[in-house]
Amino acid sequence: MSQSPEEERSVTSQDRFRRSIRDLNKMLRNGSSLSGRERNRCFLNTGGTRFANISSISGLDYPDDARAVGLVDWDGDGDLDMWLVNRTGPQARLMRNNTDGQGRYVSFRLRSDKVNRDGIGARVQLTAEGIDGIQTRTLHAGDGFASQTSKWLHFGLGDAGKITSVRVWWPDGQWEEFSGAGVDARYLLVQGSGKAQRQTPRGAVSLAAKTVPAAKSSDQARTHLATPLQLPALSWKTHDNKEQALDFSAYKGTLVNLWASWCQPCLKELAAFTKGKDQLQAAGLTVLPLSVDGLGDKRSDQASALRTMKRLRFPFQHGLATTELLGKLEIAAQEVYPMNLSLPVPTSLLVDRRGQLVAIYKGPVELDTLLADASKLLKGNTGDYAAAAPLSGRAYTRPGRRAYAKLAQEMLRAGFRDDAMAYLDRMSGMPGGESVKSADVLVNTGISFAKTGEWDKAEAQFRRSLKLNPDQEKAYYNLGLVYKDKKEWDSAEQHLRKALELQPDYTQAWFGLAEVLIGKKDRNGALAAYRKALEFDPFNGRFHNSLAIALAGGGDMDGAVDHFEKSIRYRPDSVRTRFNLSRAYIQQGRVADAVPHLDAALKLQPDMAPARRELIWILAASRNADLRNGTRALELAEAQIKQTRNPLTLQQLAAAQAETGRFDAALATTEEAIRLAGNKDPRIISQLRYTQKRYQNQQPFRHPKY
Amino acid sequence: MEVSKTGTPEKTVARILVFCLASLLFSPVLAFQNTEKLPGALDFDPKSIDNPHADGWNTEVLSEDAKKQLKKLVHILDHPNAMKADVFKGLLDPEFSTGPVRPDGLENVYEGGGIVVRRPKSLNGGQTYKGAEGLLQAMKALAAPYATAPEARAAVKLFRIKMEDGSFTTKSYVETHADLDDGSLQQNALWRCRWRVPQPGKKPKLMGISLEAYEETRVTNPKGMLFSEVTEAVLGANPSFKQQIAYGVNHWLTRLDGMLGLDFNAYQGLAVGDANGDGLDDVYICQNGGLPNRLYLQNPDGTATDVSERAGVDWLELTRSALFLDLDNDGDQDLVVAAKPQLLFLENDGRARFTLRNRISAGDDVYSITAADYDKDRDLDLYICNYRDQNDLSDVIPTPIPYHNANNGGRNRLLNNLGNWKFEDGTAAAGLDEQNTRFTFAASWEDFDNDGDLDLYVANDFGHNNLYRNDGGRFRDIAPEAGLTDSSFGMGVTWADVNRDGHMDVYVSNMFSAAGSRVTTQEKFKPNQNQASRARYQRLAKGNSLFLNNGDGSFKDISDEAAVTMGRWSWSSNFADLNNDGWEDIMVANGYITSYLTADL
Repeated sequence: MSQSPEEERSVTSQDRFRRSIRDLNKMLRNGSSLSGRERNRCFLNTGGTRFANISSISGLDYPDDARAVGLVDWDGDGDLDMWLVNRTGPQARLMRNNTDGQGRYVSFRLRSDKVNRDGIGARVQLTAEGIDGIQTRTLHAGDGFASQTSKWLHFGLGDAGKITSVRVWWPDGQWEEFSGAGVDARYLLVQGSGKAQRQTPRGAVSLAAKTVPAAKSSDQARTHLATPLQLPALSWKTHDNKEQALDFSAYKGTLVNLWASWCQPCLKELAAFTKGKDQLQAAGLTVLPLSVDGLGDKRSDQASALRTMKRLRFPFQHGLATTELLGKLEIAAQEVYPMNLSLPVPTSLLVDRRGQLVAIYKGPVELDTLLADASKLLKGNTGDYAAAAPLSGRAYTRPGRRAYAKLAQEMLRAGFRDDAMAYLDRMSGMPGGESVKSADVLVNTGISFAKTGEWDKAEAQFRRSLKLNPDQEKAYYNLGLVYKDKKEWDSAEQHLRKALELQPDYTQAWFGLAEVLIGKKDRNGALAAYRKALEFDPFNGRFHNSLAIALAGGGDMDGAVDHFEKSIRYRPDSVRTRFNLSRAYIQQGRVADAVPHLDAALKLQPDMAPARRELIWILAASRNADLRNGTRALELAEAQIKQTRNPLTLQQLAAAQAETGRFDAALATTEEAIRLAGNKDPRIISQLRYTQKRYQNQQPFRHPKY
Repeated sequence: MEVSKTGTPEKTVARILVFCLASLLFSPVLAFQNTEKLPGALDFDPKSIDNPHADGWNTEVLSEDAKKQLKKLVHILDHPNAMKADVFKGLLDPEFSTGPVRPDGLENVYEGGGIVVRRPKSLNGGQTYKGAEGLLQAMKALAAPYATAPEARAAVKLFRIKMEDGSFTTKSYVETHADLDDGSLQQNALWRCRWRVPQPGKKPKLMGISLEAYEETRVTNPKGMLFSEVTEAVLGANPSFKQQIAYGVNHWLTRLDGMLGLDFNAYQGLAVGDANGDGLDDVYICQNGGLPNRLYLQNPDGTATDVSERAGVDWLELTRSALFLDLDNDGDQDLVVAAKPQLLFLENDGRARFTLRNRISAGDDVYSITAADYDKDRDLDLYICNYRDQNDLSDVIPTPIPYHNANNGGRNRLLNNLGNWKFEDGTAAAGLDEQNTRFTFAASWEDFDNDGDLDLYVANDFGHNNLYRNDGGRFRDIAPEAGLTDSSFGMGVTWADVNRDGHMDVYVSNMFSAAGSRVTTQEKFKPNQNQASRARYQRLAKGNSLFLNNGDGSFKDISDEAAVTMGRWSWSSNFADLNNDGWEDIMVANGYITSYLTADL
């Protein structure tokens, strides 16, 4: 029943929320969709409070992950066209309205010297012949979501031939009537003028209709990093399988090129590097091709890589990639890209003298591109928009220092603990948020040490983590477990209590505390702690089981039974709890109640010896005839004897034999048991002597406890 | 397999990429992951999340199967002239019967601006159809208006399931659409279907369909639909269109460094305004981190020219929203750009040349911004929607607490215009710090009580929205009294007078989730919680809301009777009279993340 160091489980709704968001994000980063391919909706107002769904016939229902809407009579034909801005491509669409005079309109632009110049916040009210009620428009600046529509206030007029009134309620509270507005025209309403001034727009223009598909993405890409990324310790292999540390310090820039002998673009690219040797050297560059031949793939082998290089007379050093190298580079690439797609071959990585990744080229890289990128290898640690943005633009900030907490976590997860620690070391002095993230990863590093039994190192990580962020219940919790494992009960208790101070509903910590208190022989304290854990997580079968054991240890068998039963309700597949419950029943004399649980336990785990032992006694020797079943007892006892032959299993076999009426066999078995027992255990000898007498009298054995 | 020597480099790389899925990357990385497994959160099995068979909601399994069956049924409409009954094999219970799925006696309930809406007098009555042949007859009657169309499109959204004894019922939106010679037609139906509960491993069989709603909308227009796309005609000549705008964000996510501020979810907005004062509106398109924002100026012929660089507005920082505003009242459109991490204030010289006048920090996670002269001092002030604050440390969003009414998001700011490009944080002074740490996506000003000053509606994710009533420049959140808390995932807001009574009504973008609607209406969903609490969860998934202004300071939720809830995962919703009939219609931009994998979570 001991507890291994681990992250807390989903103990609160916050944890569950964070966990599910994290999982969701991971799936999205790997290319899943979430409420994707949804089509825009459009509802037609059919008279005030009832709408009709015109989504499909509107022509606006693109499945675009649309975000924003900008309404404007772009083509000047008297109806509202629409800009849509989308997440998928094209990121902007202009939709032309085809109403084209099937309904009349008027539109107004406001101007004022008394309130804000454009009259934002002003309200225009309009009545027209044939239109019931008043039409009201307020001039908004920013509504919907992240959208701003035109400042022209557009009124549809249906069949109305005449506008009967135009009134403006200006933001200073003035109501103003405007005369002179007619249908199918645009007007400027200047505050205080009282007269609508007709605007003579350019007139309608004709624009050709065509649905634009999203531009197709290619797999080839140049990625110049906005901020260089420090690579982890890497190594490669020579063609005769000698491991070499990857050392970048000798060159201004190293291009690590991942290639395969079966990949034609790779060969062309290598030939280009060969040809460009002088230019590359002049630029201070070297190319290190590392072949992936034979890695997880049987198309080619390492020898073919060497053959290819010889044929090319490749002028720089070259060798073989390793799975470890690829794994680390993959993790580094995931740190760069918000969406993870696997890297193709060839992929090249440009690395500076300090081992910082500067650029990634998916697919072949042109020599000119490479030389250009190498010429501006950065000097500092901070980033640069100009080098990394694919299209020119201006920036008032610089990309920040790269934070390595996430990368450390990923390295840790992939089993590169040393690299994870190295990244964490780089994080000192990062802003608050980052040091808290580092603290989190340090706890996980500690957990990783704890799992390999390196308790001192684990403890060191937890302590280091608490220095970065003292409010970490998880670190205190895990420290508590470390001390618990060392049986330093007081320290364990102290740290677990600290964790609980920070997070009172930390159920795992209550559970850990209970076990520590058991260790301290403080049974009442332990019971209270178990109950606290259950208060926050009432459906936890494991907690109920442990509480029941503690209760049973204190003699409260009714309480124990209650919690064993609950435990099974939430964890019906736990053989151990099933066994515990049946033992408790038997102790209470409720032998019949024990049977189904023993059956269930053995169904789940047929060779569970203690459950089998209990069941054999009941089937062979219960005082309750309804529970006895000699044949089945015999089956179980014979199965048991095949695994273990000792006085006890022989004693059980004899009882089963007697129950089936085979008293001679029972006597022979008993004799063997007595012989095996020798003089070691007088208690079992006396039991065996007693049963021997019964069998001689053709009487089966009846066990007092069952 | 051979790699073609003649293939273009791109194609060859693409093919190699496929090989590499097996060879280069997957195997080594997987091997490492197996060497050490950390517990808990770090373990991850996608199937455990999106597999309805695994999550314990057996109604979800049935829904999934019933939806597949329904899809099979309605997709015979894809080819309305070649419908055969053999599609129904394995679909129908022997007892199957239905009334008409296109009711008799449709009548025009609306006609205007080239659009006709027809609804039945009564949903009940009419012939009874039995068995597969009967269903074929009923479906043929449904498809009758599509007789001249070579193909139609049908879609099903199953949003409710209820278990009964031996059977279960589902409710689904069924929509069909086809282009016709003189326009296009759409059928919108709500089907209540009865199913027999199948043996394990078998598909449910349909016992009957009853119609709960039906309408047909038709646009008569030689151009086909109400709108046609003209993007290429307008933007196509600009290099930035082909190099940048034409690509979706998924393209950039796999080729740009995330350190550029590239945002996976791409919440980009836009601003329309006349940037160069020529009387024609122009458009400013906000762009993701690392990509320059674009200003396209409209030319007299309706095309538009990219002037971003010359205009000085091609900011590379992650930009979600921007506004054209005359901030100095000099008669031209200045520009406010929410280019992370600050707001940029750019002065227009009148000819679309902009100068950066000020930068202001107004929250770490700004989404929408909206302007008004709330204090009537004749200049425009800004309200900044800030979703969360930086001090939160999780990768994604802070845990909203509690989920259905979270109050631990970012602090929105009211920036008071002091003139001369100076602004001060007037939030607290104006009383707007009340209920002001929600997860705000959007806000909109409106004088809802017709008292001559602008009030403010704020749409918040994870719970209550705010309606701040303006009382002489001091605000008070009266959303609860007004009936406008609309506790859901608020993402956008738009005001209009939908019924022309002189009082402004409000429509709020939320999330419609068919799965959420199904699950939260099950009896076993949160069985320990009371009805009110369960209703709150049901509300979360219900969708968009339309509130009618009663004119007395209160609002009436008419979302259901107005039939405007199903807006899907909605972002911007905007009122506009789209067919010039004098009534304000609603456009809903929606959808969250469409990615490479077709499976949706």
